Amino acid sequence: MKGLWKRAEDSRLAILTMLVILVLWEGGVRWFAVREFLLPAPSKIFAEFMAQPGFLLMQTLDTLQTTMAGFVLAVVLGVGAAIGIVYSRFLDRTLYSLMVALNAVPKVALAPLFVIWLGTGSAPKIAIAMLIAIFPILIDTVLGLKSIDPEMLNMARANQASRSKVLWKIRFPNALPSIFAGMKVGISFALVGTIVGEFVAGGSGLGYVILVAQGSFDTPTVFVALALLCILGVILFKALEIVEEHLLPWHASQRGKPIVESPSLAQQDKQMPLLAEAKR
Amino acid sequence: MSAFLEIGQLNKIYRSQRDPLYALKDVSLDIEQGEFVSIVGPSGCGKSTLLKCVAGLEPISSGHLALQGDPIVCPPSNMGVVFQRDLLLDWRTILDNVLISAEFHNLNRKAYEERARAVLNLFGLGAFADRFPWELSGGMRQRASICRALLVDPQLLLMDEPFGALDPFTRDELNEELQRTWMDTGKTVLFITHSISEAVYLSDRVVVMSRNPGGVAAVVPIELDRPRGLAIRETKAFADYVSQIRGIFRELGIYKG
Repeated sequence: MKGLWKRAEDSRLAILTMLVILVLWEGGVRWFAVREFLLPAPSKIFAEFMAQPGFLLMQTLDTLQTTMAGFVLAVVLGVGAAIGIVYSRFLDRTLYSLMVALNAVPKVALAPLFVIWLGTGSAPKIAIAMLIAIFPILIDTVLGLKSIDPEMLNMARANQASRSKVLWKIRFPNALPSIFAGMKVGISFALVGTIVGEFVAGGSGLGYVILVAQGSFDTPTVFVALALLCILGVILFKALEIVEEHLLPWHASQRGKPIVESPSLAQQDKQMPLLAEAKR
Repeated sequence: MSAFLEIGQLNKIYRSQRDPLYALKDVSLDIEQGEFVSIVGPSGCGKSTLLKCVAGLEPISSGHLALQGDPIVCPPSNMGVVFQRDLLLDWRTILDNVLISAEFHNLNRKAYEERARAVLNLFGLGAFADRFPWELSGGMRQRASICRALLVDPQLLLMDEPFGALDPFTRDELNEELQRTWMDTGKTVLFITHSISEAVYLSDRVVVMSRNPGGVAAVVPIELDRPRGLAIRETKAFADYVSQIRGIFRELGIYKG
């Protein structure tokens, strides 16, 4: 894992870019005297946050909790369903086809339904977050579990490996990079789902803050909530990246320089069945 | 008394749109315990298919196939396979990669750790036990995969062109190491290769296969003293064996001219 210092160095350019944009924004708003309810200056947004930091942080925490609950549910159900789909022809034909069809429906449009079914507490928000996040996780996990070198399975069979050992010692670790790719998309989707849920079900969270502030043309508060959402999204994504680095130090995208001068033929070959599977 | 490994009139047929396709036709071969037998043949002669059948990984269409008298219908427990590619798992260290065969066989991992290190030492990989496969060269990776096959001490070792992807120097080295291991352990080895000289160097008998359909064209016993040094390949006796086998291929029409 890269040290904290190295990480900070990596993000220096990103922070610099942000600062330049904020300065231009601040200068532009002051120079052209833009009215506050259209576009508040960054300094005004910061002041707005400082006026009630406790309340805003509580709402951020609320959104974080809902997002995490939806995301964790999506991971558990998505990975579980993917394993079922890969191991059962029946589930592949039924559940997988159903999920792909369901994925075509704009899931945001389902949000009001969940309020009818689950009331206005945190349940409908978690359900929507889960529903939106589960698709990329499910689809990437199915792909990852399926893209296994058939010779690898022969090696396991020649060693008397049981089905469950093949799953947990070969297929699953082999799929982890794909699963993480799905989870990285999924965590951002879960946040989107949570905000949609808060718009529709109300009660609490940053989405609800935005809704209420918009009702009274309190644009600075809308921007505070948006800024907090941005920060939350980045933190969640980065946290997942750090977990990935710890769990998959062996993956090609993470590892250091190998001792060998050139990749062996064997490694190149290994990519081919993967491609073939992906195309199927 | 029947042979250690019996292959009798074995057929492997793939159904196709038109005529059934014979991958293997009437293959008969008996292998005694402790024998080193190589199979040489051009691509597409079905030698890998034959190995997969013996390994219990492919069902046979008809014929007789038995290990120590028991018909082979699924992978036998006292068999180790070395594949063309090393098939090491990237997320496991070399030691853990070797130990996976104990895990798959439901054996106690702890009890085999010492043996795994011993086998790795034997193949010069002792210092690399805690490295990952991608940190090793192709030759070292294939050595590790041989260690994996040897870990549970199988009586039968099947090797499917294991050195085909290696450079000639590494290949020579591994040929010597394999011969030494075979002489020390007395395992029965069925070895598949493209290389006539590799087959002659290693084997007690060389099985020459023809293609379309795949079948046994000839079996050539190699009567050279053991242990054989690499220099034996420059001797007249060795060259005679190689040219005898090449002659068989020429008769089969596999060599032109």
